[in-house]
Amino acid sequence: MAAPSARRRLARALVAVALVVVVTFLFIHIVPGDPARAILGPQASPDAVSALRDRLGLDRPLLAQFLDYLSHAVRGDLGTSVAEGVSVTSLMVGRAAPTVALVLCSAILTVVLTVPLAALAARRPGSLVDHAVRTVPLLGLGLPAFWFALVLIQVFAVRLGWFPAGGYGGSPLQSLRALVLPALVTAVSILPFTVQSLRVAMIEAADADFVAAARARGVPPWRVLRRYVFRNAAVPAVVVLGLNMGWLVGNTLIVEKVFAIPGVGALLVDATLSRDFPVVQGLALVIALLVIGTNLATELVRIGLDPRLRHGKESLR
Amino acid sequence: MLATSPWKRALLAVTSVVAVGLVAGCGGAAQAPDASGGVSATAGGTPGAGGDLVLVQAKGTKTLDPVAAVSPEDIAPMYELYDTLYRLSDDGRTLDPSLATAAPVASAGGTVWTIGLRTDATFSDGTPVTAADVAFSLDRARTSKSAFSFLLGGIDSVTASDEHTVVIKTPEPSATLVPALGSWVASILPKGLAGKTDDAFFAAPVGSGPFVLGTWERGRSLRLTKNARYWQPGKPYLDAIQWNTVPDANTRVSQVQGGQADVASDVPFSQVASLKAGSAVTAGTFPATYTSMLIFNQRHAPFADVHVRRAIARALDREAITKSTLYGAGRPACSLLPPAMPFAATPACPPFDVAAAKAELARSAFPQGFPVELTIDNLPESSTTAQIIQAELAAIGVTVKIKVVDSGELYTVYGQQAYQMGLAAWASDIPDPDEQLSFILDPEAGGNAYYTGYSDAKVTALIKQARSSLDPAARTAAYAQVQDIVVQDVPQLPLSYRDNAYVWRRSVQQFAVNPMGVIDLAAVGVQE
Repeated sequence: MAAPSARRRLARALVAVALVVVVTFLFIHIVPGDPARAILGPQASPDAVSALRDRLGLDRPLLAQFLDYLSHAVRGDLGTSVAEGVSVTSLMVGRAAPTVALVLCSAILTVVLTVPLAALAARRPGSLVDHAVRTVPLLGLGLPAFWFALVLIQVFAVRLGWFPAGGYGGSPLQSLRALVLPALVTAVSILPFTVQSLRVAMIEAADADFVAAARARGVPPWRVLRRYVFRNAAVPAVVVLGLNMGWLVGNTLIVEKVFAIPGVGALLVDATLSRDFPVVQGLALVIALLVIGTNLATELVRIGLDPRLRHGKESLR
Repeated sequence: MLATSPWKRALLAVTSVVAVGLVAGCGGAAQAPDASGGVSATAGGTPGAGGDLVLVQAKGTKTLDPVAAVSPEDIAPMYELYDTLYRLSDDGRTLDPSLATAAPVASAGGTVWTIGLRTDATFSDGTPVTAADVAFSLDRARTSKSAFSFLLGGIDSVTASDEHTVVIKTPEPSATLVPALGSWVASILPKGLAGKTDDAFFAAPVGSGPFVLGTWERGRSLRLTKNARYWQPGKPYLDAIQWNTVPDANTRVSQVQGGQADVASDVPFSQVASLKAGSAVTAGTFPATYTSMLIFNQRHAPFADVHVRRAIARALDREAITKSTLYGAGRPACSLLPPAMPFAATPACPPFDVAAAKAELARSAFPQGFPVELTIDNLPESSTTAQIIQAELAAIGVTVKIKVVDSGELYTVYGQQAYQMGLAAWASDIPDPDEQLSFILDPEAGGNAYYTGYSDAKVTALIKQARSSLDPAARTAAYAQVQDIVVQDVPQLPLSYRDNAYVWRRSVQQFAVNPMGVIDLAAVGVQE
């Protein structure tokens, strides 16, 4: 694992994190809109606005504010929410569980939908079924997530009453039920990529010598598919899922809003609107760390699994 | 999708954040003052005791400190947790005694106000509410330098003359004292916050209102339960009220339809008519003080010319604008003061007339028209309004370029007067015109005449005179004059008065929203 390739990837990830830290800080501070005015509203007197600017240290030089933010951030202190008056870390901890649950449910649902679809398509490449499986999920890409979500809510929550119309239950079971529709929306948006990659991997695996050998030995077709084809194709597909984590998380943020899931996405939207910059900075940093970390872990696992990559060869792409 | 270089990865992470910012921008609620109003649309008879009421709203409550509360979501729970000396009457136009026993007794020409307190009111921890608590709370609020401390700005001192008598001194006679004492900013808290720090106290607040804090999950829900020690016999009817945060308007409606919630606020106006006739669900709009308006930056040459402002007032069909944005949930505006506000008059507003508008413009320094930038926020309703304005002003040669800024940025731009013409709104927090008229017309009062730079000595004098007059007839006359002058001068052009739209289940009894946007939840019940 300590091969040059792994070390290089780690270094790249660190550079990416540093970039995210700088860019998010600049982004929220340069974007027009005075946080003090945004928080206090149009009626507040200029006195009240300048008192708040003073308290927030907004009139200090940008560099001083940045160094201050950085020195606290490396010690794990992300500051205090301007709008709510509590620590950013405590706000995030309170909102993390629903988002983590949603991302996990979406990932599981994605796998559950991807495997049979890809298997169906890979059985006879070029057939009508194959074409259908490859094109229909593409609709998911063109489908605006919020619109699809509203349709699901009208049909399955309001008409049929099978699931709640958004929200997040008090008990784990209620929460799980509340997550079915949002997870479906997220899964559908990522499906085109995962189905496509698993299908290609399965077709490649199906052409491999060991599969031909197994068939020649008279192993039943379903068993060939399960033991030889699918096992060898699974790794690249999981890698695709891992590398698409950023997309998955990004989509989760939109889905959270429509389904009223009180997660970090909803927190980020609200904080951005009210110019609650410590919360925006903190969340952007943590989300970036998670996305970059997942990508890095996925790549390191792939390097570990595939000896060819250990020597720095960029292949399999 | 598969990003390997650090640049791409950083870009991916940053774009998710940017994308969220954009989504936030598109879906955000107007950062306009809180308030709404009300004719009561009641459902059911006298409520029976018991039951929970679930309300869904776009944003979450961010603070339980009355001094820090700014948004409608912050303000609503204040009226349930805490009491004030006076409270809004059912029609939202006057104030009734609440912790006070009667209207204040004014002496020394209206500068010394003596207020007697109820002797039977206690905080939720059992300690009695005394004059010392009132003095502490009002001093804390008026010296706090917070967004709404200006409402109590006209107070010199508050003293407890005995256990149940408070004496308030004002530098001049004050017509706005009682309305201000009825606002959430003037909520009564235990003296010295019962020896706790701000953070500790507001994590488990103690008040004398009809409800006490149950659970609060930030960003998700706020639950209040019945205060067994509340002084008003028989109230509240409900066992608990809970506000859930549901950012999407369509989802809020779906939750009420599906029975997950009982009441939803900020319902899309276009849906009110079709929701009204539901079997389990109904909808309605309640008059408010929310007034949308065009503001003219008088530092920008054309708008320093009154003929230009008058020409624009005649060139815009306010009825059409109101219809296409509010779908019946509002009325075209004429006076700056909305009908739900006491002292609102009906000045003679010149009707929509393109020929008259052209004639008016011909008398200005810009007879052929001019190009102008119209600044608006990124809400769909603002965009519709701006497009109509653009089309209508084209008819008199004024070519409008629409400039969209994020709703969180709008009032920063206006505050710096970095705009030419802008779409703004006002809503009042107290049932008295002084708050609005001072802020939007008096150049000295903090808002620079609502960011326009308008200044008229006569208007300013009339507003001051009305504020320090305790004679309703004299106030009526002064405010009528102000409203007439403003129609002539057009420092801002009021476009429409907007109602507040709600959808609620028919099992909710006595549901009503007053013009300040407050629901008297102690009077509401649910049919089991």
